[in-house]
Amino acid sequence: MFSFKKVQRVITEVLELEPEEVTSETYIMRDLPTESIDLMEYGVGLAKECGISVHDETVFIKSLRLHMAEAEDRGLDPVTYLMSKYPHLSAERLTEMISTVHEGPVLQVRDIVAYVDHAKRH
Amino acid sequence: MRNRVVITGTGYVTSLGTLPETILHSVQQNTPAFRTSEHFSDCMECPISDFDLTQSTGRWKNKKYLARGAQFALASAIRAVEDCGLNTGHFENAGLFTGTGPNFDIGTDFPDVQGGKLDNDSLAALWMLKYLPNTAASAISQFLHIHGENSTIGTACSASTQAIGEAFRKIKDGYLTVALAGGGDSRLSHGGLLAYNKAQALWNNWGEPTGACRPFDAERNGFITGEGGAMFVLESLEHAQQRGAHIIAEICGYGATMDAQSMTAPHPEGHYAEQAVKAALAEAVLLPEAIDLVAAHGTSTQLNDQMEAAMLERVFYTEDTSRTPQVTALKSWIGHCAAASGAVELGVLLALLAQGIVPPVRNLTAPCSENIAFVTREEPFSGSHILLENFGFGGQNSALVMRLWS
Repeated sequence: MFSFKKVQRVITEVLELEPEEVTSETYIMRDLPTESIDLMEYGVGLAKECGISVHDETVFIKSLRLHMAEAEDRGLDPVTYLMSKYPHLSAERLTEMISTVHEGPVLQVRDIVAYVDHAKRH
Repeated sequence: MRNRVVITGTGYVTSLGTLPETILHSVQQNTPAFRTSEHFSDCMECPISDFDLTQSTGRWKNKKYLARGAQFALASAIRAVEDCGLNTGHFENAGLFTGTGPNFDIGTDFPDVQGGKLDNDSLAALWMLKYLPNTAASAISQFLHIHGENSTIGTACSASTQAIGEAFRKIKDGYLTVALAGGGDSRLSHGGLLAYNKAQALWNNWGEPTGACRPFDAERNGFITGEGGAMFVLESLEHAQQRGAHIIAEICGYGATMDAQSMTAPHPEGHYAEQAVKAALAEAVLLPEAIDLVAAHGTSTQLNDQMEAAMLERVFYTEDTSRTPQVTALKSWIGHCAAASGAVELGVLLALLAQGIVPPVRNLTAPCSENIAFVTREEPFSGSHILLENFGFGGQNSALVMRLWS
């Protein structure tokens, strides 16, 4: 909850939104008017707000589809492979992402929260 | 194809107000916003104290990328479009010509610079946008859905006048039918005031702020830094008349030259400033006698006002001129708005002339020229032709001749 509030604050400040417009389940790209420069501002904001080192590629799962294709090409289990790329996400969450990726960008606020919590632990 | 070009919309953010009535009230009450600077106790400034871009844009995530000058330009552009009676759908093919200056607000973004290390946690990822000259135009185009020919002009204190002149030419020559032109600027930051203070261009006489800034006065000794923005909707007369637009003024002529003389000081004889004025008159097919009112650049510096007064005498006050213009200087009311000077001065002037008033040159008690008919008290205005002059650091000179629509 603590990390969620911080992530929520970063997003609402960048996009000039009210807190209630950003929930844990909100899709970053589908539900919000996030553009590529906003992702950069989220990254800078998370680093400042949460005191963590932010790897944009990982936190915003920018290469999810690429990594899914790599797993397929190499005959690997996609969830296991993705866990090596996104260690902050659970097997359950990655399975959900794989099954819904055809509907559009799957990144949700809770995934960024998971990244922050993971970064703080390590 | 040669079109006549008219102004059909104005929008401005000035230290005298943002509405014609408030500007008139400020002039009639003689209450310009001059005050002692918060940054330098020996400097004066002319701030806009109650500006909030959100009032114009509503919630908009990209506000953080706009320097204060760009914010003024955007707010002015939105107001100008509201004023002209066209909805934003009509601006798809419109042009956009924006006069901007450098952002000197360095202290806000880099408060703790040591050893040249700039990075700090409060910088936005795209902080550079606040320092790019075309960010104002980018923001305006996004808001008003403008897709046509465009240019960002950075010719110092001549910039927004030239922006209007360039837009005028594009419409006159048939490249555009509608254009938005003007500019916005602010140098009221620590960095901005430091720049002009070091250059010894600022008013440096102690005394009451209301007595500072006295264009063309023998006691003048520097300008007061101001801020603001103004944008105008220009369109061909044919287009304006077809849609039944309210026409404010016609732009009749434009002149622009360079001194090729000095990095900052004007050409001592004002030879090329004179050429710019004469070029604007020639394009308007008008003799000097036709001009009723000159809005002078009038910075209140020794060099500019000496050059400009001598130039005005040569053009308008020779022995054989049968009729001479009144001369006013808006900087005595709003300070020096830098790149936005011309646009803001035109906005304030049009607002006052529409209410029948010529603003006087404030604090002018000992004119540096006895021949020039300076306006020294608020006077009614019954003329029609006005000349706007602006000259910039670097030797850029510009002049616009306009006719009030009746």
